[in-house]
Amino acid sequence: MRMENLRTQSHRSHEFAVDDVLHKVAHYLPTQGPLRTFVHHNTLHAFQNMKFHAAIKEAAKIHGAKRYLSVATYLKLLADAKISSSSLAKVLARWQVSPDVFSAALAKDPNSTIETRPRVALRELRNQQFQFTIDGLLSTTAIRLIGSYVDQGVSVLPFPVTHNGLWHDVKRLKRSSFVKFRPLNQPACSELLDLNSNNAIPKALEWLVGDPKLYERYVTELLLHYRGWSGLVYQLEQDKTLLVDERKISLMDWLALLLTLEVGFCEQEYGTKHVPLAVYALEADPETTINAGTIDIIPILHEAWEETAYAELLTQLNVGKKFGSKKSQQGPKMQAIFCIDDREFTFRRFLEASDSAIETYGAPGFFGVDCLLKTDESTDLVKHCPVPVTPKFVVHKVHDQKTKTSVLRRVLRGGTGASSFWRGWIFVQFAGIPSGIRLLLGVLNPRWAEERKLAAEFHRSKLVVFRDAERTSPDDKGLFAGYTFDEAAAKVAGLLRMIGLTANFADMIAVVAHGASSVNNPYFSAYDCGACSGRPGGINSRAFAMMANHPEVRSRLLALGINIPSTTQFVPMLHDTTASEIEPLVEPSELAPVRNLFERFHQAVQNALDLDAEERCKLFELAPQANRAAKRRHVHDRAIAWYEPRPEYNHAANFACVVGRRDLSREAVASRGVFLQSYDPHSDPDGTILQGILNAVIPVCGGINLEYMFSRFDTEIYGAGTKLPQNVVGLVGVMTGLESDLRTGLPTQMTEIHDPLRLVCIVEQKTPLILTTLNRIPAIKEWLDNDWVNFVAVCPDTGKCERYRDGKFVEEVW
Amino acid sequence: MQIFDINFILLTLIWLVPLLGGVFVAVGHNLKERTLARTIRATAWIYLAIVVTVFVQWAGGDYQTLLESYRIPLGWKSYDIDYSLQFDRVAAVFLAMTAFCGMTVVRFSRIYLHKEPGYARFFALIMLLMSGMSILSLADSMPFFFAGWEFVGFASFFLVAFYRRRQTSVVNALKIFAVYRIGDLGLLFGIVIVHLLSEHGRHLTFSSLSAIMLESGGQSSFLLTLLALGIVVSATAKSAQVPFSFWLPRAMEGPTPSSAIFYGALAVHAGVLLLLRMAPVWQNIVPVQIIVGAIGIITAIVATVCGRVQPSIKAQLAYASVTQVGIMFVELACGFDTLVLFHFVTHALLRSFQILVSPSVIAAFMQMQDSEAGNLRFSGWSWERMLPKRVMSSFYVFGLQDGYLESFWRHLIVLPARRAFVHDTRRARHLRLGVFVAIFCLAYFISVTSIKLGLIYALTFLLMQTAVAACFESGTFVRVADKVMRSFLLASFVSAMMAGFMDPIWAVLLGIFPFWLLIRIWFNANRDFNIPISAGFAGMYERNAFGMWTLVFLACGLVGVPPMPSFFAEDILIEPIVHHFSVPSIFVGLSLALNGVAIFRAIAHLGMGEPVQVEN
Repeated sequence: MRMENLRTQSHRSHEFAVDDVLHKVAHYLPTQGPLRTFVHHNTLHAFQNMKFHAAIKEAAKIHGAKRYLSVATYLKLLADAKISSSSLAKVLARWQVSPDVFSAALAKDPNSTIETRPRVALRELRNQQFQFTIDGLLSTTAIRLIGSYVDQGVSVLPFPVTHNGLWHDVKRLKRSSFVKFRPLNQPACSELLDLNSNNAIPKALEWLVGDPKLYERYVTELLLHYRGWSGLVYQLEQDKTLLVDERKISLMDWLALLLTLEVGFCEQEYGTKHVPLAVYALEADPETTINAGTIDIIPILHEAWEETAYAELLTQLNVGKKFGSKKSQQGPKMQAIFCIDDREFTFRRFLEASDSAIETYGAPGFFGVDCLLKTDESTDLVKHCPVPVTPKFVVHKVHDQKTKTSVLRRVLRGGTGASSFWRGWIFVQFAGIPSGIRLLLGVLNPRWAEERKLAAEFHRSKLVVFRDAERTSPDDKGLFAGYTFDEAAAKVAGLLRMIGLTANFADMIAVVAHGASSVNNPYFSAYDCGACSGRPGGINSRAFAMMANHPEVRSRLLALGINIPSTTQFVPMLHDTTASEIEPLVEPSELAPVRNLFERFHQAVQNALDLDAEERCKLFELAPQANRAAKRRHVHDRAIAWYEPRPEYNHAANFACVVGRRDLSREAVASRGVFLQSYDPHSDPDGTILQGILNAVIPVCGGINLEYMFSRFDTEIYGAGTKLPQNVVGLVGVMTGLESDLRTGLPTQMTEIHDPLRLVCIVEQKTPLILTTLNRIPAIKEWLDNDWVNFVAVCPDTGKCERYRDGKFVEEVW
Repeated sequence: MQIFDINFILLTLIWLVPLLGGVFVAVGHNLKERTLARTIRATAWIYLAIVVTVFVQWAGGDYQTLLESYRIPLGWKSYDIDYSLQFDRVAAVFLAMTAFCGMTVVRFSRIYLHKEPGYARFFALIMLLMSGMSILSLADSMPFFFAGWEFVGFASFFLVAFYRRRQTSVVNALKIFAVYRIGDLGLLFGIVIVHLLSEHGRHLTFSSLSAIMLESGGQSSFLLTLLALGIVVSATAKSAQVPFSFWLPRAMEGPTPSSAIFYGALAVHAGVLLLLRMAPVWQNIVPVQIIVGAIGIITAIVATVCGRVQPSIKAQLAYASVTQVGIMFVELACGFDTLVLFHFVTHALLRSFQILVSPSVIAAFMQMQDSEAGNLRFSGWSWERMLPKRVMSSFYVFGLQDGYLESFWRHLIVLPARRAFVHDTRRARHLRLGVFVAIFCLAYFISVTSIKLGLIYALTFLLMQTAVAACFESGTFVRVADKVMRSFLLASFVSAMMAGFMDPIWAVLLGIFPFWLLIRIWFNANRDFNIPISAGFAGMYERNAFGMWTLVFLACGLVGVPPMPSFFAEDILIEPIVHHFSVPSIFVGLSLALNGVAIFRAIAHLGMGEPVQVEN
């Protein structure tokens, strides 16, 4: 009888489909990879098939997160007229809420409309039962194990075996050790360790939970409790190349390990008193409810705030005016192509104001050169293009000089160094005084301890961009070692057509990539160019200029219908947005033909950088109030100071993206960030160019925008909390304090001044063409249909503004 | 010596200035950030100026130790406070490092902590640490030294729990505090033994130690050995040596600069400083010398193994600190005092720098990858790889679990204590009663006639039980305070029986009882705080910061923390017990240490964590 019971029970437990549940949970996990390449993405991508507000609500329920800013914040905005009454009226009308009902809800206790009580986790029941918890023990062991397993070089002694997958390697480690591995030495764990991970999971659940109906909830809660680590594990399972030192790892193994450790600790701490969770009387699920009867006012207030900001921007755009009159008089003397990045928005305005002969364009900062970078030193190929793109071409950077870094230099740069017994003892005696001096210098004046400029990294090396046309077949990884002239011409033509620069070439065209130098900042990659996978775009701008300057490419461009005069020279440059510096990425000798123009451009740039620094200093409370030069020095110092957790506010306050001719946005002086993409509506009769643009702009800008938004909404669950106590683990991420879940999202120091407004994408094109284009790209259309990004079309001829609502364009009053 | 001696005033100012600066910032925490920062910067500069002045004085006087002492009479019997200061080579080096690291961290944090909630609290605590380190460096009498010791402990507790909403930080802070209390215990015994040793004058200072040792002809008495052992326990706990090493990585919970100054630069060397100060005593007792050397070398090895496997940068640096301090212990055991001072300076400089720039580690690796052959992992070779596979795995598992030190303490003390003293089943109660009677009878029969001895042993057991129960109490703060009070009363009875007169009981009633009474009154006035400890962490700091600090102050008084007058009551209490030299003294001392843990656990539960809604 008893045997039979057991058999049916174990049979039942196998009905629990581990794969399905893991698949489902994996969906909710953060999709952040190792920190050295930080890629912005929608934090709530798992809910993107839902409408924006509904998704927020659902996600808040699953993650136990905050939905919006606090009610008090919105009420303050309302009181300060940052939410205009006309916008509020408009939103109320759209939500079909009468103003009376709204003000009644407002007058009532507004705090009562937020639901913040998360469901009690199942494992809490156990804690309540025993009055003490094993969570601390479990976290310490589990985090140490997974951290060591994925470690890329912090620890001196790496995980002994890493070839067979997490589960098997931990098993092997436990078995080959002479000393006890707590809690895996518990009998219950030994039993589990004999199995494969997918068999161990149901068995462990049976031991811990007991009732198969609760398994899914338990697994979900457990994995979401360690959402950062679980997310990383899942990312690594999906794409092994994310780690240089590759690891075979899967969510299944990680879950099995967590459960096994939990079983072990339960047995070790509770002993025979442990019973499966299902034994405790389960309270009815206290599903959280918004109190019935009143309306949820926060989404309304939030949307009204957004509308107010959009309206302000739209009034600043040159809609409906005839433009281009100035251009027709004489061609521009200099042109500059920038990244669409919102940090270039104000800079471009200042640059144009500094010298009216400069014309600027905006394009994604990889300039169409999607490549992998190969260096002499490393076997690793580094991606230099947007994340969704899979590049096929390899650009080779040849180093002319090699330096061996001494241990002392490593330590003085902030790497790890000899920290062990003998080596450490000798090392301390020698390195102590130099590091003390360096610390003192760096703290007194960061410039005294400055390492090197960002642009210098791209200068010194030779770049191999082209390959012979005969080598038509790729290597065994499907990669080509460089571009043929035909391919290069296609890339160049693609970019020039996209931004509408196919005639009227100036003699000097600057190709300005951007990056951001910062020190003592694990998030440095999030400051760099998002279109280059979180790297500075210097390689791309150099490669682009080399292609566009090459006579062979020029002749093929001519065949493609783009006639670049032989006097025109493309000059690659790099904008260090933190330090406020722009430097050419070529040797001065190469600039000889355009020396005069370059000098003039350089002067304008310096002036614009001064203005830009002044503008940026308005955001920094500790910036000097003094003259312009002091402010420029101040922003430069922020880039090199160890004690500065906010080198810059990079994308903070981004809220709009304008796709159109420069004249449309020329007079916009919005105090918040705007992404600018150049686009000539008249040269794109069938929408193919627009399609390419939207394909890149919506996910990239939308991703940045939403990541900032959610990191600001809930700094602890969606964001990474404060930067100050963070601890780098395994070179893959950061934890808060000694050990915590891996922190994903952005730290408060990046988002604190961000106004979390959804992106509004303003496109200069006729609505029928936009609609047909959108229908060709359903993935992008989903962003708009579900209100993750707002969309406005400006008619290039009439200047009429129409709003995209639920699949069609409607006219709206602004 | 006179009060208005310029050196006396300067030396006093060294520890007083940062303390005053800290108090100012703590009281004015609502002031503008700029004002606070200016105050702190001014304080740091004044501090530096005074230290330099004293240094010049000292150098001008041909490096003769500056000695100042003053006795503050308590007006009760012959008790008085011995306030003596000395400025010698050791003090000079430690003060120089305190000034350097203090200046650096203050400048660093001015901007690093910009806009962070708790800006004022952070600087107040850093100032408290600087004051504590100054006292440790300057103190010539042990009670005064102990005050500095406690300052460092408190600053450490509150800085580790700086992010008080995070449960992990708070729990780790409590663990560290418990270890510190063990360290306090050793020092407390040291103080009492010093009293006993210098009965004629009651005053024995660090600077007079060598003279006394000479007097005794270098012969080590039992008392001296005990004193040395107490000191070694203290230093071991405070400097995170084996078997306490596990706490140092746990301390990496606060903002990076606080981790740097505490666990890289200053506080971790407090044990080394204590050993340097007491060197005349223990360096003359060969067995103790061997113990110190053994602790050092075992620590260095264990911490090296643990440090080598840590995947996070701060944990690795923490273990690197422990390793170097272990080596300093070895150097001390060998008598290389000058080398230790040099080692301290270089180590403090290097480690604080490394911790401060630890967030750079990813970028540093990538730069190296750019400029150097090889892939991202640059530590290609490690000697462990030469070992047989199973041995290497064992190393790895050993290191991954912090050398089993934490679970060692859990299994040695926490779990048995919980089982033996706290479980409130009928069987447990009967068992405890049985043990009580058994101890009484046993002691009675062994000593053949002495009821007194039997009672003392039995009471000590009861005392221990009360103190442990206070540590695990799940009721309200007041219930913990009650239990603490009860264990003080028990201790005073034991002590009175030993001494044969009523002094100890008076000491408790006059020194500790008032604080208990104030807590009761205060609680009746603030019903808000009546949250049971079992309810988890209640976050009352955020609801009523003033109330919480009041409570912390009163609690410090209750458990007899040095600056409080009740500290002397504790001193008087424990002296007769040690004097009569029975085993119970250890238990009495231990329970007094546990009182501190109990009360701070209650404070942590009440004050820290996520704020809760209070239902009235």
